[in-house]
Amino acid sequence: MLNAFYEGVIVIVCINIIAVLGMSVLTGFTRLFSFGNAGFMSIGAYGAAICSVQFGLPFPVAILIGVLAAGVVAFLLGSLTIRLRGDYFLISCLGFGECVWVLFNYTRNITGGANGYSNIPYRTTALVAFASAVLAFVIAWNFIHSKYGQNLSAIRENEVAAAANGIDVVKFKKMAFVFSALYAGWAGGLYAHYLRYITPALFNLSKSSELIITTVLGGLGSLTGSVLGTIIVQLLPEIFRSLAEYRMLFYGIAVVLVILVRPNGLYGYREFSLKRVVAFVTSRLGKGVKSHE
Amino acid sequence: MKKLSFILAVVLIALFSFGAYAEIDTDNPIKIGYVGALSGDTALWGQAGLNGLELTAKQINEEGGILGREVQIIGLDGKGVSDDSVSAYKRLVEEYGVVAVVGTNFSSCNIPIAAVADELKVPVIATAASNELVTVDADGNLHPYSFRLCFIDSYMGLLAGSYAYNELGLRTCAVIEDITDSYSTSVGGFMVDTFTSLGGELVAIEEAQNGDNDFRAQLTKIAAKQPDVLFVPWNYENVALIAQQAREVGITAVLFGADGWDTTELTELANGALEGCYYVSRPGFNLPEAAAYGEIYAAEYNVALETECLYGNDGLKWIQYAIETAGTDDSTAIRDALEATESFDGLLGHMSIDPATHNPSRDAAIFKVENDEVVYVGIYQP
Amino acid sequence: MKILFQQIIIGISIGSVYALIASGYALVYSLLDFSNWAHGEVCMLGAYCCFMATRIEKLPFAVSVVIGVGGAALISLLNERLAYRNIRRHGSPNMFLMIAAMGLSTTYQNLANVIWGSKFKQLPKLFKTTSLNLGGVFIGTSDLLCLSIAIVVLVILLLIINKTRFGLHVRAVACNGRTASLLGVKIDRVIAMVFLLAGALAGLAGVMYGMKYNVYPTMGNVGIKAFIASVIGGLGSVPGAIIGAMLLGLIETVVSGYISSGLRDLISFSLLIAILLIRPSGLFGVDVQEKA
Repeated sequence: MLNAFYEGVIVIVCINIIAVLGMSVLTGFTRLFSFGNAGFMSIGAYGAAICSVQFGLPFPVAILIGVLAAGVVAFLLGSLTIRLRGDYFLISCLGFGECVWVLFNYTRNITGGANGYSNIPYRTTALVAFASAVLAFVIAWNFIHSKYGQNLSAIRENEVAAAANGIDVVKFKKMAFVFSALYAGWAGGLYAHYLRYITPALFNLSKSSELIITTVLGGLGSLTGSVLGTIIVQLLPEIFRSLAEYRMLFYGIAVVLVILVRPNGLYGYREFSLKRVVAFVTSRLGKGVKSHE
Repeated sequence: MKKLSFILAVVLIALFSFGAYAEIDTDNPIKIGYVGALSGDTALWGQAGLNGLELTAKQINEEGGILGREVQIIGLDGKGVSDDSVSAYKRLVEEYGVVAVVGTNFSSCNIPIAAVADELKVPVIATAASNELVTVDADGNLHPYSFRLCFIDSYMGLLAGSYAYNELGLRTCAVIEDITDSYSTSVGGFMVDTFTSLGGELVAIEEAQNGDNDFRAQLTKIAAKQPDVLFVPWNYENVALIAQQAREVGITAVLFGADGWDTTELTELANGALEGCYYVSRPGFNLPEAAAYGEIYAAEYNVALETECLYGNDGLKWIQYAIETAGTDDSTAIRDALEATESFDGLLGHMSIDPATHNPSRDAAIFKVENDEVVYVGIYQP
Repeated sequence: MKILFQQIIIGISIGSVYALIASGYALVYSLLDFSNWAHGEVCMLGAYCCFMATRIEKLPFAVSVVIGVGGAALISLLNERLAYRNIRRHGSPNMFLMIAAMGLSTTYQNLANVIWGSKFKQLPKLFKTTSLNLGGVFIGTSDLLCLSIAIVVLVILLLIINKTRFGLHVRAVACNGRTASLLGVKIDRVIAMVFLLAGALAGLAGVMYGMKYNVYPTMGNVGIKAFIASVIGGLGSVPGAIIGAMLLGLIETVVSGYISSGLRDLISFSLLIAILLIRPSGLFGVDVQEKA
């Protein structure tokens, strides 16, 4: 029914949705940029893969351990760096991502180094990936609309005012950071069980940049925008695949154009809402009806 | 007027008969896929491979196709990235309905493709993916649908190590590896293992990373040890940089490399720093048939020759051989015929397939840089 | 001891190229508060401009260098005119400038791939790969040349910023754009000039980098190193960027020379994070609350 190609595309889109949702909670709601999320993906992927292969743990347990590993590392890193501002925080995350990359290349006995880690069982089917993405969306949505999420929005809008109102800015920022790392680890674990073979180079700086670009294109502060952005960013190169050398060129141009044409991203600071669509359609219809009269 | 119509008739008959001669079944082509890096910084090889495949397909079609049917090549970009290449392979099989796939030239792409190929049951022939795991997984199980054309890392390491020790009489070695690259770490490891197991001594092992340009910090350390031979299992661009910087910091050792060195531009980029250095690779364009093909290729595409074109040619020709042996273009039948290949003569030389590992055993050649030119030393067997 | 001396020389020579790129970063950052991720690609395109010029017969190499530098400056200006300025006019947050720059960076890298292919191109070597041997310490002649050019150019840059009227405008806009514009400084023009200047620096760095390590589409990735350098030095501070760059070059060589070449980036990044923990705004950065 569903051929292997479409299944693969769905899995990759869903995995990236999870990672981007994590970024979206961090960047969209605190304005902190993390160039290290590929590093967290890497930790999640290797953690889950090693649990699966080395210790033969069941798939959900392996994923969970990978996710927790990413979360713990994020908590420790966040405790050190979350107070840094803007680009200083960004660069510390970038540095972290590169450290993970170098470290996993270096620890050949555990991770296989550049030779990669292979023989991971195939567990991430389209169904698993889709269910995970839906679950991730629901959790993120509830998180954002909870008291914590409102505090985060307050921090985004005005950090000083939020602090003056008794919001523990550092704590909430760190919470968002750990949240995004958990999601990245989750995506990484699923990814390892889709590709069956991982190398440190899969989770390099360009993966982190891709996540950030997707988040911003989708629209900051909008979870639905993030989902939409991911679908577009992941599908465009697939559609352009036969264009060979022009493929990534078009991708780059598309990114710049979206920023220029839709300066707030596709869905900046608002969610896709069925109500609005219905309202839009009925207003159009209404006009159409009127003109007939 | 009569004369003119006579000439016209002759021309028409000539055209018609020529057309009849080249007539093949174009309605029901045999589709063969190619996955390679057609974009990005390794696009050079991917495009060369695709060109080779297309040129050979054109030749095959002019000669009447395979089983009387036209050959059609479909190339998809895999960017040299694992998941992208896996998607490209799946798309070729599921969307385009190819019967076999050639590519890629990266082990990191072919290892995950191998597992997918076993499920989709369409054979894939890797070109320059030399890691053992491409055809046999980490538990020692064969990937039945995965094949390759190139040497494996350990064979290249064996050749380089033993040539340096036995033929050149060198006794101390050092190695500089790209820690982020499986080809480099794996070949480098085997080079050193062979060399030391023969009795040589390893005096320095240094690491660098993909994207590095300046290796002098590492080379300075190697220079202090003054080894006889420095193994440089890198791609030629970096080899050229490493060689020049090695000479700059005072390393006089012989530099020894593997097939990553194999390009027409090596000496031009190295600016004389590789004088007296060696590498092990395929005979490449030094075989007469390959040289003739190279001339046609150069005339057709007007670009420099790359061994990857020969890989493309050999991959397609091998599939052609398998289809003609099996008498059908069924993918499983092709796989069986590929596995049963006892002897296949391609432009890269003669090869036979080990059915237990799907690794080819083929002739390897030693090359030396002399007077700023790569000299073909000859076939070498340790 | 000899080896240490050798490593320090190598570190400084690597750092000097980082410094040229990093100072361009710092200049743009000081005005617009955003990290220009396309800066490394401007550097790459400058090198390609120079390479194309060397293909023209009988053109002296010096002219090719000027073409490379000028080309990079124009491309940098083009980025500002076509992309960044429009985004500023939209009143979008600064992060959009950064994303646009990332998009431009992908575009340029792949454009170079399409136009010139991924093969390495060589710029003419002014000197053969010779090195001066000072009692066992080797100093590459190209390093000496690059280092002296970098020093001269950076000194001129610092003089421009600190001593000229234009430099005064730049500092005024950097300090407070709105006030400066009220006082009659034409902000858009100052920004355009700064992009030209930063582009020229990047172009020069690209040419020097190309002479040392060849020209190829992904050479702009060195921009990340320069970005790190400017963060170490303190974002927006040109002298900070220069010192940060030298420091980064030294750390990299000394770490790979004495600790571990495999863990080089791990250790240099850990040091970077450590520096930021002690001085959260870099070595020379001013700790201002980010304008929210």
